[in-house]
Amino acid sequence: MSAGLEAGTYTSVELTNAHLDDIEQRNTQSNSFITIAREHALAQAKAADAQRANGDATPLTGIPIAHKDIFCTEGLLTTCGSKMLSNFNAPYNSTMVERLNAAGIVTVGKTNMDEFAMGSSNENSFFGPVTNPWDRSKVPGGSSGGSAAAVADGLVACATGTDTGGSIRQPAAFCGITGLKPTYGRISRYGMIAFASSLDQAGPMTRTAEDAGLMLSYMSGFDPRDSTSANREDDWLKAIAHNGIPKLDRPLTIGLPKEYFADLANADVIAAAQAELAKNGHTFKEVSLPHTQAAIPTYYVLASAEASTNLSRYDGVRYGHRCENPTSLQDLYERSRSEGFGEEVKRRILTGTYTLSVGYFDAYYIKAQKIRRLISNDFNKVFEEVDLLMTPTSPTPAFGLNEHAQDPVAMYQQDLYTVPTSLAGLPALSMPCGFVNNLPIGMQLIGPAFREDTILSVAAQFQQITDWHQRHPGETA
Amino acid sequence: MNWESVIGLEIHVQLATNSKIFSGASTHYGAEPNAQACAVDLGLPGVLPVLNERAVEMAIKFGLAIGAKINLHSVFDRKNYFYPDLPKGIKSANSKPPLLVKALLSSP
Repeated sequence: MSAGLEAGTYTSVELTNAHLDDIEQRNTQSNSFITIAREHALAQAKAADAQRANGDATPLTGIPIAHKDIFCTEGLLTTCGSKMLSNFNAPYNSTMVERLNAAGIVTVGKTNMDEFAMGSSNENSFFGPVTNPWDRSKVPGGSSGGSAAAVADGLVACATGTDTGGSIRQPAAFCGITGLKPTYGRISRYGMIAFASSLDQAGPMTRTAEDAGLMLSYMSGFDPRDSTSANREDDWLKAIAHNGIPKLDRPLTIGLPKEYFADLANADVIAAAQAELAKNGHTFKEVSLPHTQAAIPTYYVLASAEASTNLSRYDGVRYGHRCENPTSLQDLYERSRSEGFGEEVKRRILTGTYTLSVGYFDAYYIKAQKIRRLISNDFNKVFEEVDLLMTPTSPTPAFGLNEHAQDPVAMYQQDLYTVPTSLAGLPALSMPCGFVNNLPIGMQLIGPAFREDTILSVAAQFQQITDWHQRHPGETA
Repeated sequence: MNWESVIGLEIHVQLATNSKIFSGASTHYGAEPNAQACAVDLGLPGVLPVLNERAVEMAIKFGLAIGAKINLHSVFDRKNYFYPDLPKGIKSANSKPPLLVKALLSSP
């Protein structure tokens, strides 16, 4: 697409118009967009064409992309998938949006998501569920389900997502695309609506590892407005725009954590992917991450606690949903919040408030913080022996709409293989590595902190010798 | 029974910084109402606080002047309240541990 713009085969305005027509026509199938931003996109496309005419184009200039509706975008609604913010127009851009705008990207719309990024199926959206492009009776995963489905459907080549416990990687796996959760701190959180601040991390969702690397290079960087933003200069990251993803200078030792392979339904698909990776000379070693089983309860204590305070600002006083005719301040709070939040968000606010309350704080929150450290230590230890870890992304392929809707604990188990990395703040990528019953299966690569280069290099190698990432829904697999 | 009076005081002091404690908005006195409130002050969705470095410097100077122990590790915690004039529903309290402890100021 970038080559076509560079060669002058088409302008960004033409490309954007074609994308918008396609999205408007096909969004009814997937419901992946909450907002389609025709006017906004065409103005950006025109500016991108001018940027190219001036000789200032980047590889992303004029490319249509979609943002998860969790990123504040000036001039467009930012709903976070919630009734609470269904009328919220952010008066500012998130840092990540600002950086992509400076690169000349065109925002064609905002994508659907689980409300406040809480969910693994995209069924918790005020704007209705998203369907999986491979099978419309299945969920696309969540919470970045709209972004994943939009890329899988070919509505956009890339989209942005956020990952707190797997919200980029699991939908990428369910929809057969490439999704990267970078190291915590790699991409600024300023202007990204907070769910669990110590875990939230933005990342790219694309078809290929090459595109994910390119997007990452423009999304990341130090931001003085985010105190947890990493202040570092990685030469490989800066060089991606010109040289692409770095090449490996030696074969790697890849760890297979045994806790991630117990009870795995599609072990043969992962084994076949391992055989492909071995063709590039990589060797494999079984390793152990002994605290894996504690990750899900630890995550739900910590994430819910952080969410309960992050979401206390939505009170109906200044913006967002306000109940009709409040009779008192108490009534205003109670009804605005009862009406504005969905069931899953309420469940997590209640859990979080409970674990933070006097008398329970030490037993739950402090204990969970300690277990988090143990989980993080598990990873530090294995990365003394191996360069990278390879695991399945989720225990199963995409499940049916309504299949787990009544059972939150079964839903939470979906995040078993993605949550530990989030707790440790490590980078991880999911990409398609096979199909079962015409549903994509995701493989996860986990690296040490700030080594997205190693992850991307191995992913790019894999995508050179396989074509799973090029499969499109509707073609016979 | 002999009682001894011990009186604690909570004293609020405004530091002479150019910008606010958690945002870059100006603290200049006498401007138009609401002209110096930024997105961070309003607690809008997505904003993040950044601690004013100058305020920490001033606090440390004060601590040195009164012989306080200066904690090299100091934490801000969230305290939850629903007040209509508290935009985020939380206050940031520097208490576990605070920047300065154990000072002595003798009064004549």
